[in-house]
Amino acid sequence: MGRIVTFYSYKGGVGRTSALANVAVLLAKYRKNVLLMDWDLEAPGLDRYFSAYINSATEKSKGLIHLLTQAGIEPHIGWSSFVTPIEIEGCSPISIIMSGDHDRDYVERIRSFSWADFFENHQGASILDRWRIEWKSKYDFVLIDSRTGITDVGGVCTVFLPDILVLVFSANEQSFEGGLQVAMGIQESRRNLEVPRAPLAILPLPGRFDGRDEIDEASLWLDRFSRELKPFYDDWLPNQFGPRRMLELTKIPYITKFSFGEPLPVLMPGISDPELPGFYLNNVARLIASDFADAHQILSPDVSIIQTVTADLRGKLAETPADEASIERLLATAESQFGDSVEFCELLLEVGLSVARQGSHLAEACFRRAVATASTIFPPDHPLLLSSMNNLANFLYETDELGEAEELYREVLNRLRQKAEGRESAVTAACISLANVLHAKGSLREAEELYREAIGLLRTISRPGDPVLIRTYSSFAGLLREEGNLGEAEENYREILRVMQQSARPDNAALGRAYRDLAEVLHEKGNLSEAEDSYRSALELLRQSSRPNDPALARAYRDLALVNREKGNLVEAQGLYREALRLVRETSRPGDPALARAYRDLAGVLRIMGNEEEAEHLYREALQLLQLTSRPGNSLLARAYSDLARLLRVQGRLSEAEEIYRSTVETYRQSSRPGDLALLGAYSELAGFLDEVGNHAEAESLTGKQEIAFVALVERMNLR
Amino acid sequence: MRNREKTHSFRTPKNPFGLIIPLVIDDGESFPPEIRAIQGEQLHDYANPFIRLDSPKQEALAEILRKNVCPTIENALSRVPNFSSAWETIAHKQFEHMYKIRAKAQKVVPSLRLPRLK
Repeated sequence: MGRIVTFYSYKGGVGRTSALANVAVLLAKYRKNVLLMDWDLEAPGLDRYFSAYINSATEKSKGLIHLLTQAGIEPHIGWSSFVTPIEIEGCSPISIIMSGDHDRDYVERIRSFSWADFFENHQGASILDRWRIEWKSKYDFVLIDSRTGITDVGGVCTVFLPDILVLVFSANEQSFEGGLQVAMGIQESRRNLEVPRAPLAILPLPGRFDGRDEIDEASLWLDRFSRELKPFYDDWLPNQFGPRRMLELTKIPYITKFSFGEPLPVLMPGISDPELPGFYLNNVARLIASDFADAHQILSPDVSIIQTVTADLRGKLAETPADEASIERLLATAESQFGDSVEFCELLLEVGLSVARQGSHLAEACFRRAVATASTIFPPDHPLLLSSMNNLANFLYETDELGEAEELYREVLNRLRQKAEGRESAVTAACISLANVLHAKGSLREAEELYREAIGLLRTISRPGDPVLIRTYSSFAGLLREEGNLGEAEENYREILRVMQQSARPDNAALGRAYRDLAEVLHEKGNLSEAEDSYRSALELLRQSSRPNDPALARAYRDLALVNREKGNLVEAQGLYREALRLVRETSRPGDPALARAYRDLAGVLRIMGNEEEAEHLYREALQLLQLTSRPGNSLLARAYSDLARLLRVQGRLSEAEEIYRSTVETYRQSSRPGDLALLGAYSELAGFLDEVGNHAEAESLTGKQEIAFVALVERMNLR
Repeated sequence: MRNREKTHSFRTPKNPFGLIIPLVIDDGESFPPEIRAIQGEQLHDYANPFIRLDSPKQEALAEILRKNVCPTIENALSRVPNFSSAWETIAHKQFEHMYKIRAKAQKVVPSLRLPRLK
């Protein structure tokens, strides 16, 4: 649908009709289909600007007043026979409905026409509404030259008909203040119409503005315009600009040369010259032609919009937390400017990756939009499309939406495989991504095949020490461990170490982790000596590379202590557990369960070594900490009770031990399902203890409960 | 929707909330009184179709939606009753009778005014 644009001024002599005529020519130059209408029936003359471009043989005596008069008699009358063509070289044809003032009876017709009668008795509103729809269907722009002041015809032109109001005024109190008041009243009057009309967009236009000589005075007026017209600019001016700059670029300067006759300066060279009115009129026409979308370009022509929006977005992305509402608005602006384009797709990916780092779900929307945009503009195997799909899949994988992530990774891999030559690294990355998601979903066999394929490709294309190769070996070895294939897992961990040691600058922290992984698998295999060596290497590397408060360091001490304990090197194990406890004490927060674990580890080895006094003290420390911080039913708390009960039982402190055993059972009962192995163990231990102290009846009753729990356990295992 | 509100005793002293959230962009005078009586968010000032996405007005609208409208929608969503197949049987004519807009013809000339002279 086209737009109806009314040019209105409260006072005459401000250059309103001249502005309309020149804007019409510019719109026609932009190849827009334009209709002009002279509604200034009491002081007509719009057609005079175009007299040189209207065929002299054209019948000019019929105009708007004739159309309105006739419509009062024939409500279904058409308007097209009242249109006169204007032919200007280099422009689309312009149409005009003149006032009809060339008719000798014009004055009499104007005097006798009553708007009140037309509306009340001749369906004037529905006739005008029908024409309005027809004009908007046939033309891109209908420009109406309205009567000045407060008149009935002015109400029709400014309230009933338009979509956009160009408010023309000059720098004097009567013209500006009156225009401003009328424009404010129009919005309210439109709400009171019986026909639905949205609020008007208002484009303020200072006319005949002479700012070249009286610079200070002009500046004061522009300040005032800027201040008082701001509510109108707020609808469509980009928020980083104030109205003042737009006013400077749209005020029509008073140039003596154009003050005589009815000139059309936009037909002369110089619409890019700020010294001439054409420059400012061109800005006005661009605003109208673009539904105000060109405002940014007019205000900031040296900076492309993509650069501005990108800069604004990057500014917002640097904020923590991200202002998602502003980011979404800027993206909407970018989308409205660029639609489906490479730039927009890249922008979406940049924003998506940035907000994904902050854990924002806006990332998902960005990646989905990027995939949709790239699918529209690229072939199916275009790198930017595949990258968009990969980024979406990565986000879904991170947020545990494994099903859709798998579908996307699989699709990316399929598309890459169709034309894999020269894209080996992309195929490798796709294999790894799909393998990771399949691994997470438990589809181990297919994941294993993909890891093997990826490692095969990486061996041919990657450089020594490539972190991708190392990560892939590591993931693959982890999967082999899960499958119980410890032999091949060990081989892979050894390969990782070999590859890492080849690197020119090995990363000690990563190397430490690799030794730990190898040690764990050796430990699982029961190869304690080699496991100890590897744990020791891991500890050494971590001590060199990590911060003193790195939790990984305490873990490395614990690992080494455990293997020493299992080997029977209790003294060394004790020393290592003490070091682990010291580190955890220094680095943990109050109530950290890691501290309770460290107490229990050291207490366990001290108990075996016969240092029961210190062991009891440490068990009680662990228990106290867990009682304060953990929820009822916490399994760590139950184990802490159990540790202490066993120690007290060995020491012969049976009544204390019984109480603690009962707490163990109670804690497990609060958290476990029937048939839970830990609960079964707790029942069994308490029953054994009670039997030992002579409470056979309760021991037997507990054995019954044990049996019930055992049956439940068997049922659960069968269900699996 | 109004029928659902009534069936589930919305807009009563005990349960003053509702499932209808009116956003008023025109005068709303064509609506029946019971709908007009529901307090809505007045958005006349933001109904201009030429508002740009990066304009101050758009930002103000977004703020109103965020602060006033979204919490109301969230509240309504939390109270949505379970679906009932009976809802589908509410007669079309009953709906039309109650909610059909009976537009009046414009009989007076739209008038210009100067607000300062009201």
